[in-house]
Amino acid sequence: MEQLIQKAKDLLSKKEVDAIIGYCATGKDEAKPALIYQAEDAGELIFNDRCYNNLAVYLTRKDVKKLKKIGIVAKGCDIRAIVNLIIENQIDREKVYIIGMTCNGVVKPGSKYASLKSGKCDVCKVRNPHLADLVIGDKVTEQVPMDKKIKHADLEEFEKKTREEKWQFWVDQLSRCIRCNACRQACPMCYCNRCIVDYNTPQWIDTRSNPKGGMAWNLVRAYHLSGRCIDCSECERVCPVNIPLMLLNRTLQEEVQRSFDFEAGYDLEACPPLTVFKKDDKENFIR
Amino acid sequence: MADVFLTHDKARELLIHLSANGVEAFGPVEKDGIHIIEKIHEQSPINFDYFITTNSIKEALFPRYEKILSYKISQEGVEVEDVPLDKSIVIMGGHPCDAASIPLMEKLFGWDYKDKFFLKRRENSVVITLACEEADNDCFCTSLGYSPRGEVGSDILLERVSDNGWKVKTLTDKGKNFAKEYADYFQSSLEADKKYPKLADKDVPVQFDPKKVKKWIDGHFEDSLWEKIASNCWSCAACTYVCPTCHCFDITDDATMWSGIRTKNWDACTLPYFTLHASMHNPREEHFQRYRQRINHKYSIYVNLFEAVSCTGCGRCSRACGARVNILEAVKMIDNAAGGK
Repeated sequence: MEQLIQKAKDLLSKKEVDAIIGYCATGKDEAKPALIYQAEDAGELIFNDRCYNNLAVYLTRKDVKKLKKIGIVAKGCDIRAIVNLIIENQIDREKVYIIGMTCNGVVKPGSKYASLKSGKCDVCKVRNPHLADLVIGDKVTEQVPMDKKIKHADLEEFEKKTREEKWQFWVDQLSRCIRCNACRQACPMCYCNRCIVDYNTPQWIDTRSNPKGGMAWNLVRAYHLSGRCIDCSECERVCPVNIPLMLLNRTLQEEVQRSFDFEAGYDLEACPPLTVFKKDDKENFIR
Repeated sequence: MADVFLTHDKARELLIHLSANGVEAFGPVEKDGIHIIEKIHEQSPINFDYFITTNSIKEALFPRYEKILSYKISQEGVEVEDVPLDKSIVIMGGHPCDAASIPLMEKLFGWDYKDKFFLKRRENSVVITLACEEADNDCFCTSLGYSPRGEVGSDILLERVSDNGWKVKTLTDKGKNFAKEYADYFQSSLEADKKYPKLADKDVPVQFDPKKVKKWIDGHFEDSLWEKIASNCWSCAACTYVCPTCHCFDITDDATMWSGIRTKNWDACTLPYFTLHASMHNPREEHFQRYRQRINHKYSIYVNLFEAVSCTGCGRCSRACGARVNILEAVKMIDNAAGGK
């Protein structure tokens, strides 16, 4: 913590960054995102196992984008989002100072603010930051090797269902959606200037919180995240009505992994498969 | 009048009986680890053991989406069909902070334009409220003059006397008539457990003065404090959609060329496109301007219009916020800033 605060103070006082996105305490044994602009406020910064928010989401917020250079406190999972944002030309690597934090997992049970249905940290491959300007914290043992293909237990369980059961499952789950857009706003990869649900001439997606609208919105979002979702589970964590959104995202992740042998957010040089054209694509229709 | 009691089992039976007999019965169900108030049907997993439901009872009177008319276009012209609004409604399972929102929303929906959808539903409904037995750090009803055992907006108040039952307090004629009509479900005695009531007003301390808050807001539309209060807001609508008093809506058509239905859907001032003009100018461009609107509307604009704060202190918005923006902290920051003035 000392090192984090000191570094933040240095960066801010030497004007190397205009602000630092980090975590501060809420006074309830919880952590919340904080934007620190003054060196004297750097003392508020903390890092612990309640720092579950993916702070990369703030990098594309209007006011933050206007800043010349920004510092960010980031765990491995957050860095995966940063890597993707750089690849997709949303942020400039030079403009971001990444303070990487080694991490033993966040989202401990018992927090009412972080009820997750599916494990987020148990399949993490980047407990040690894979892209950072500075790494804080002792090196921790990686529990999953980088080259190991992971499949979530909940997805394996889900795949045992028949097609009809799967459909019914999602009809039930998604008709509960209240269309609050928390999933979209918490998602570092949902940065579209104008999301398709916000178009009304014509209205592509039903805006109503009914089974049809809930289904349309969540499927569109899942498809748009395929090959881009970096598995941070923020959408699922922030969903007020506990829809298991990661099961949906992982279904598509699995497809992308199977078809293109690709996982998002690890490699700055790799392009998300759905955003590139290759002459040797295995599908005929695209060549 | 002799005391009357109701057990959880009987309450469950009653809700299912009502729903089977043409009444729109709303009650608390446990689903995937959360408690929500929703329309009851025969198989509903009704459960009364919760601290607070994720959503509020607002959905019963101001649904997430509501058909307001349907239409057909033909060579003869346009044929419009109204929606019947004669169904009786019973809402069981909210807390006093839910019920208190009804008179508040009534002011708005009964204001210059009489919104028959809300008003008719309100007229047809019986509100049965559960007194609170638990509070957390996000609760602040007493700061707004309400109480965890408050009666505002309810027709019947249920006060827990044991793990599986309540003492029934009928508060209005509607409540009395309801208790009489369904007397079979109620009973005249129930063994009381000394541990109840668990919660009194003093357990939810008063933390700010809404008058002071309003005064500060009125003089500080432009103030850097707003940016500080909402610095981590990412502009979703979780707070407004779980709020018992937020009432903004949008009207859309679901239509083909020759017929369609028109619906009234929830909308929220915290969403970036809420105020976007056709010219693409947005008067509330930044996240903090939208959050300011939310606080301003509740603590100042509503007071100017209706002499009441449009917040009941339930704390749902704080609990639902994934970015951990906390309304109580926000209002306390304003209260502090108003300090010496």
